[in-house]
Amino acid sequence: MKYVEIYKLQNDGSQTVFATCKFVDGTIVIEGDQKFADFATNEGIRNYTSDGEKKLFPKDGILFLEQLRYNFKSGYLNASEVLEK
Amino acid sequence: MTTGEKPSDSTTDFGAAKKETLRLDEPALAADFEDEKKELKEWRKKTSPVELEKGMVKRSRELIGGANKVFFVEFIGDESGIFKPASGEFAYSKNHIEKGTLYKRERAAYLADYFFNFGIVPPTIIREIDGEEGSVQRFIPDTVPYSDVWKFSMPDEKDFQYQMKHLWIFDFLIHNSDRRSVNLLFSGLCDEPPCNITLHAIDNGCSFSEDKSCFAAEFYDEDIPEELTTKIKEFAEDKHRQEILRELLLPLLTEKEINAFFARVEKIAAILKEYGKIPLEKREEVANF
Repeated sequence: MKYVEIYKLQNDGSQTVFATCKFVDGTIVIEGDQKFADFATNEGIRNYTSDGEKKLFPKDGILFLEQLRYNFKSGYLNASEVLEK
Repeated sequence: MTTGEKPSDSTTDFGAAKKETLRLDEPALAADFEDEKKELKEWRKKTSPVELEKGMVKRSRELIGGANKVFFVEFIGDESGIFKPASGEFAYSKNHIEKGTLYKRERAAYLADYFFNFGIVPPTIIREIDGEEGSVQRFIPDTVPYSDVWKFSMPDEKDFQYQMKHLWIFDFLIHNSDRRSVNLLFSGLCDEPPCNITLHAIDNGCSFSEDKSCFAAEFYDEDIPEELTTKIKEFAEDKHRQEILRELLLPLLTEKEINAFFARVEKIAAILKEYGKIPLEKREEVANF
């Protein structure tokens, strides 16, 4: 299964998993922080492979997963590459 | 970056143009030049917190995830920072921003924030850590991302909107093409009012370029707080302050980007003076590079 972890930076510099986005049956299921799940589902993320105007949502499947690391890169919230288990 | 433009030489000195034409038998001019150099040095100092710029690194940890390399750096003392080395930048294939210039734009955004007296960008400097040059931005503890703000009590909606309007105008000014709710943090949120909410605009590396600007929230046709309008007006009218900022931006951005920034300042100041808001019909005019 393909998935991406979202890490939140703590005050001591450690990172904890804040949410996990999993590719299940062609769509993305978000587990963990509910507010984050609502945000990603409703607001969407930017697609850095296009001009950025067309947003991506969990229903966009793998492309959504792939683009998470370009959206979450501040250090405070970082997304992993697409992982597999 | 556009057609072969190179960022200005990082060794550019304040008053370099004057230096070329300065005649040694003109002591008054020489004194002016020395005063200007001294003043610029003072501004550099004011905008470069010593604990970030000179602080001894106690520990540096590369953070996992993200498209760019990012380090959490602890300095001796209480200070921590977010270090983004130039060598770890991701090349954005679809935009005008050249790889290896994002860290300079982080610093440029902080300088603009400082000169407008907005106070929304954490202090950001450029330095070398472990042989790598990059930006170091003060780490803000106990923050939550914008998406999490609604978990907390929001008694001061007015204050929240006030800060969001600062951010909106700021992103117009710096032409930020990457402002999203994920690079917008808040501290001071609480469950029991009164809270002391503070907005922190981070991740400003995609600013000042020709890329299309984007915003976390927009306030067209809404009144802009007078205090915010005044800050922009004061800066737009203070040519000396503008000149100092221009000199500080020279090693960070291209001349074209700097000129475009000052043109936007003038345009936005004029619109706010006339309307007290950004009318929707002016959107394209102010959002253009």
